[in-house]
Amino acid sequence: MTVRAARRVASLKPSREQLVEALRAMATHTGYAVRVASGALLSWIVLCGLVLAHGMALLLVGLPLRRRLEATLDRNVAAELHRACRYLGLSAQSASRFSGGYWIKVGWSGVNAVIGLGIGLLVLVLATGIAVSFTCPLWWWLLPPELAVTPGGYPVDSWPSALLTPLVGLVYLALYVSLVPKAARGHARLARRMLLHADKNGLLSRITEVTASRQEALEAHGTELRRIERDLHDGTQSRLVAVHMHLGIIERLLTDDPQRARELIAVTKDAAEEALSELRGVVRSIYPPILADRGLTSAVKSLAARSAVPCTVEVGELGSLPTAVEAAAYFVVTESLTNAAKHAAATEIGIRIGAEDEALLITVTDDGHGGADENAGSGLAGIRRRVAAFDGQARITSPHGGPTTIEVRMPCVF
Amino acid sequence: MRVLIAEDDVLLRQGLALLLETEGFEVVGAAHDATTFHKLLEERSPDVAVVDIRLPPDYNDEGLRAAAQARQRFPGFPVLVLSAYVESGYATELISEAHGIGYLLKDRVGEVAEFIEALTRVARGGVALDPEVVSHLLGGRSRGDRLEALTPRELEVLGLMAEGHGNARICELLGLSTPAVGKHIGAIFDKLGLSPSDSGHRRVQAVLAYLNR
Repeated sequence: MTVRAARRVASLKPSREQLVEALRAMATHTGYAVRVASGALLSWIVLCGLVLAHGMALLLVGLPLRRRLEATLDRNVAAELHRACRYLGLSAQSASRFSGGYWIKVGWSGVNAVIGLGIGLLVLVLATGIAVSFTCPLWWWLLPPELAVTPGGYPVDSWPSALLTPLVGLVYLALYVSLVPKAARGHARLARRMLLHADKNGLLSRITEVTASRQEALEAHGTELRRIERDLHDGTQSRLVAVHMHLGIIERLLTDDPQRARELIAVTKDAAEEALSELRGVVRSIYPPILADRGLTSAVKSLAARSAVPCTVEVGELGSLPTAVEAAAYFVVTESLTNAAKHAAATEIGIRIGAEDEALLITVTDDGHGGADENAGSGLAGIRRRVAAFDGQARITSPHGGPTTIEVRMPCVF
Repeated sequence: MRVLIAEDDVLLRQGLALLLETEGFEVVGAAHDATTFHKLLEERSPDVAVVDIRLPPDYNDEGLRAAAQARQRFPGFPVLVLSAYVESGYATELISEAHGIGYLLKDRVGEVAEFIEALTRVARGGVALDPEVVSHLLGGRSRGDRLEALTPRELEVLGLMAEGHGNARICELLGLSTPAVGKHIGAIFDKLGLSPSDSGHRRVQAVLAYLNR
């Protein structure tokens, strides 16, 4: 194998581009290996420090030291995983899926301290071997015989032995070219397997995300059900009970006091009308009829037209969206408009809706005074909850002095 | 008869007051929340109270708690609880406790005669349990038990007893003679293995206890 690799480098005549490419690749492998070695050194320091800190736990200094070391451990492990993923050509996102606990990190650091240091030594030994073997014909005679270098296992103390060393250097080079990339790749794969559990841990963290989003969905759904129940019981039903009750009174009054009965009919009619309008309100809040009739684009345009603050709407090609996503999108826009008008004193609002990568993107920007507080009972928390229920993300930026931008991304494929 | 009302909805509160006054009751006060209710209860010494189960500030079961407090303050004080929905748990909890209690759906208020009859019954120390609750208790039973041994007529009589009606009223409602109703009741108690008692509160309790078993 070494011979083959040596041949690949030495005896074949590669084109210039191939050579440059090979050199660049070697540089990448070497860079990774060197960083691994420095990471391994850091792992040693952190691990020894943690052992010390645990030992000093009884003293007061132990705890702050441990915290700092743990923070370094976190950073170190995250950086290593990131580096490994990048080296393996994986997206940075896959590295961010890491959700291992303290002991996984400590375990990895232990493994890394040993293996990483080994890789470092390998690079150091081979590189030194290459450098010495190729250059020693130039300077061997400067050394006294008892200090002669021995890159090939024999002392270089004569011209024949010195002229043979470049051949030994070729062997070192071959070893370097074949071993360093393997070691680097092995390390990166091990890092990925240990920290991301191959795909299992990735799947696990995905499950965690889905569980969280399901939880949000259940909560949002529960809140919504309670609201609808309240609206129906305390609004619509109360009005209808009043209608029924007044009709009962009217029935009793009809013969004895028809005048009073007639007066009560007006009250009853009003109550019936209120019941109807409240019912309309509840229905609209469950699923706006305009969405059913005209779809999201028209619904948002009509919202903008009714808005107290001037509104511009840009809608891209949306395709067909799941009903629930449409309703949530409509809710997001309604809440954003209400917020802009009520809290931000905005004079202009821009709404942009588009689809990208099977996700719906909504951006609402206003020129108000900003400083929106999610915890101050604004609709922002509601937006976040509703969007999270669909496994989506909401980003709200609202610096003091404005502008406020609400960006929502909801996947449309589940 | 002096009535105190606790109901948060303006229209219903005014409507109830109007209805009761039209029917010859004296409405001594109408509270919109539990605090006002307790204040008026102390000041106006009503004979009976009509209380909405959901009151401000939380709109949960403040009315129920207000009723319990009122009865702690004035033992045996009759309270008719109104609710927008039926919850048999609440109902049996209320009834098993003492005399002079009622639990009705708000919808019943529109049936003025029945509502007044129920209110009067409660004010006199009787029981008024919404037919919906009773049918819930009777119908929600899946295990084949002794209820299956009752004839349809006896089931009807049992339901009316559970609602809190006395013998005379049951006769009236079913168009039966007093001895006939007496015979049905005897048969029911026999088949269910209950000890026969008079037509008062104890009988309702026995019936409910049986249904809740």
